[in-house]
Amino acid sequence: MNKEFDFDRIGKQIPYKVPNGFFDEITSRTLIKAREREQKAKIRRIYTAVSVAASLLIMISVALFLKTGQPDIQTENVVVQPAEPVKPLSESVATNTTEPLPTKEKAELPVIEKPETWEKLLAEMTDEELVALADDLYDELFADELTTD
Amino acid sequence: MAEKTDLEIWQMLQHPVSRDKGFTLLMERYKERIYWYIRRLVINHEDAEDVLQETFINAYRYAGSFNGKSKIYTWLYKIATNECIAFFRRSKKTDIKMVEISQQLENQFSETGAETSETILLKFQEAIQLLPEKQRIVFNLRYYDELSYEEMEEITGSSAGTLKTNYHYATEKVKNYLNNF
Repeated sequence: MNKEFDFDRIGKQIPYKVPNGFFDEITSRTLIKAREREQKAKIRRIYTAVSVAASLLIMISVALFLKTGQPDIQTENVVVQPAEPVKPLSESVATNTTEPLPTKEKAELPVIEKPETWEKLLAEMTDEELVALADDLYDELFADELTTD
Repeated sequence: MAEKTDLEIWQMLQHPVSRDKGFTLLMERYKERIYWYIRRLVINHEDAEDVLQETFINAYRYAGSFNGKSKIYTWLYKIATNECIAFFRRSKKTDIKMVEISQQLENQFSETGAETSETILLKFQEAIQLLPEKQRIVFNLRYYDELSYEEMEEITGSSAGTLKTNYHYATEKVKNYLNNF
């Protein structure tokens, strides 16, 4: 072919053909596919939202658990600390001090029982004994005043 | 009943109630035009059908992203072009050898029962398929679909100057290929 190629010879001709009825069906078929794709995308969006919500819930739960766990330890310390001086020295040496005390035992510490014992003791005392006790206490207090300076 | 305008069809696509009806109208209006554009780029009918469906499914799903300022068919061409490019990447058909292109085209001819006198058409398609991807797209949009450079700017995102240069090089390459035939 020696002469210059002319586009007009070809024009807009295309050598391809389509199967019969292709253009009649393609719209409905594509619409069905589009709906399905949309439905899948919707489900995927819901799954994503649920996953994000679940992750947040787990994170918040863990954070709350860690936060609420700390004050418990602090209150245990508060309860245990004032109870320790009450123990006799020999007893505290004999027992393992690193081992935490059960909560029930801590509640039964003699802090509440003390006034009852003193009251009983005082009630059982005679007038003479009470006067003697008062004198002794007065002497002791006076003696403390003299020694503390 | 008066025929719906493109703007009305697009508005129908925006609302869930009229969405399917709008989609049907849109596809009925542009399916053939878009199909042939795709077919000239991907050659094979099955591939063209897949790409066509993907194009309109994307139009259905992302109708909200169309701003309504440009023509609806340029938006469809844009989606179709992107889908074709994605198809080329998937099948790596951009770098296929000339022999493979000839074989594919000959298969098309034998399927359609074309006469030997139509060999020139085959060679013409062969020449187009040998163009670089961008030039091939520009050549198809300008030569077959007769789109303006402004419309092609919207579709390809390239400037009119670049598109004119691409088209010029494409026609020269096609001419040279057919002159040597």
